[in-house]
Amino acid sequence: MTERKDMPEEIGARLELEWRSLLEAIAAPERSPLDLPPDRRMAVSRVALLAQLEEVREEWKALQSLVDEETSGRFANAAWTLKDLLAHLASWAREFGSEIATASRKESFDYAIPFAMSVLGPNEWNEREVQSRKERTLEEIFREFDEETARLQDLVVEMEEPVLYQPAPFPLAPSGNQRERLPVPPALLVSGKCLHDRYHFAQIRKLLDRLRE
Amino acid sequence: MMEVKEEGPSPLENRVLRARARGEMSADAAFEALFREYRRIVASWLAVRVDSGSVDDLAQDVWLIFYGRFRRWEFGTEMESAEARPVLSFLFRTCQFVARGHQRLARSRRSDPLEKVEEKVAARGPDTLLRELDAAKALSLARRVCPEEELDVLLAKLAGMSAREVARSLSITEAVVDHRYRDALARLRSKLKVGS
Repeated sequence: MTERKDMPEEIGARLELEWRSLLEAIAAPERSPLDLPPDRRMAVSRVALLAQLEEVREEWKALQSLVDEETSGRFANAAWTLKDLLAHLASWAREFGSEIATASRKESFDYAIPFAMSVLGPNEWNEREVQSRKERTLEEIFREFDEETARLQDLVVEMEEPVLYQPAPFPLAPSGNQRERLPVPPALLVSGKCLHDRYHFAQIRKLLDRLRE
Repeated sequence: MMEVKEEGPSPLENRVLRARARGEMSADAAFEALFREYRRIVASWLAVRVDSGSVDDLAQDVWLIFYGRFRRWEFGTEMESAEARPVLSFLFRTCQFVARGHQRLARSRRSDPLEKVEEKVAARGPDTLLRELDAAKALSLARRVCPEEELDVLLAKLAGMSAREVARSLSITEAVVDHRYRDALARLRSKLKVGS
């Protein structure tokens, strides 16, 4: 048998042929999320949560390669530098990690985080957490966020199914009163953490784009 | 629901997003058009990465994640290029993350009875599975022998993503995309030769 010297192009063509066959043969789901009732259109399966946390960690890694000491000192908004904003994300990664860990142990919370809806966030808590990280290096801040988000991934894997999806009174309380906390399923809290991260990532990307111009 | 017909050189996605950005299409109509356009690609990407019994569930995860994101979709500067397909890029990345999540979960559930997996596989029907397996010998080999970063590039290129789109999705340079693609092909070539 003579040896067939496949060129990369031939392998590429063969793969393309197989790919097209796969596309024709695959039994792709016909039902789109629009066919589901509106209350079931949230991506909160365990795999979806892990995927969203993975996405957040990848984006964080990408940002780490773009932010240096100089850029981190630029103002991201009227009050915070970019480093402060990163510290804000790290502080929430730690808080969410701690809250989900507590929920997975089926323990309750002995504190509340006042969250006034009208000012888009628990300003006092945010400021205190950012200030407590002032002396940390950028590297420490990046590491804290990543380690805490990785911890959340482990918790999502390990948590018992009923605990992950059953509403529990987490510390966020619109009035600051411990007895008036919002009951949320841990799965939604994890999803909310990713939403919060992505919101700020978009801001950081825009800032970095502006600085490059 | 408004229908978008294939016309001209720009991909359907681009026309859907432009129509959506101009307010000529509702979010749901645009979503549905994109779902119809890409559902086979998403399922195929997943079929190469995970066991066939999990493809349907994971595809649903991918589409639900995209559904949530599309409600707040920002029509960025990349839309200025007629060839831009940010949704395809997003779906590509999401398939990657979903597959990783699935694998992570599978690693922690190794003690699960194998019958569960077999039941799911059987539910899809033997004919479908055979067609998929038969159609994907080299692809299956790619999954086994290529490192994840090479497989990522290979699958993206097979679905027609440009080197630029792949580079942006993976946060790497176009040169690295090209390098990984060639490495993957070289790896497959050598394995196929050994196996022939």
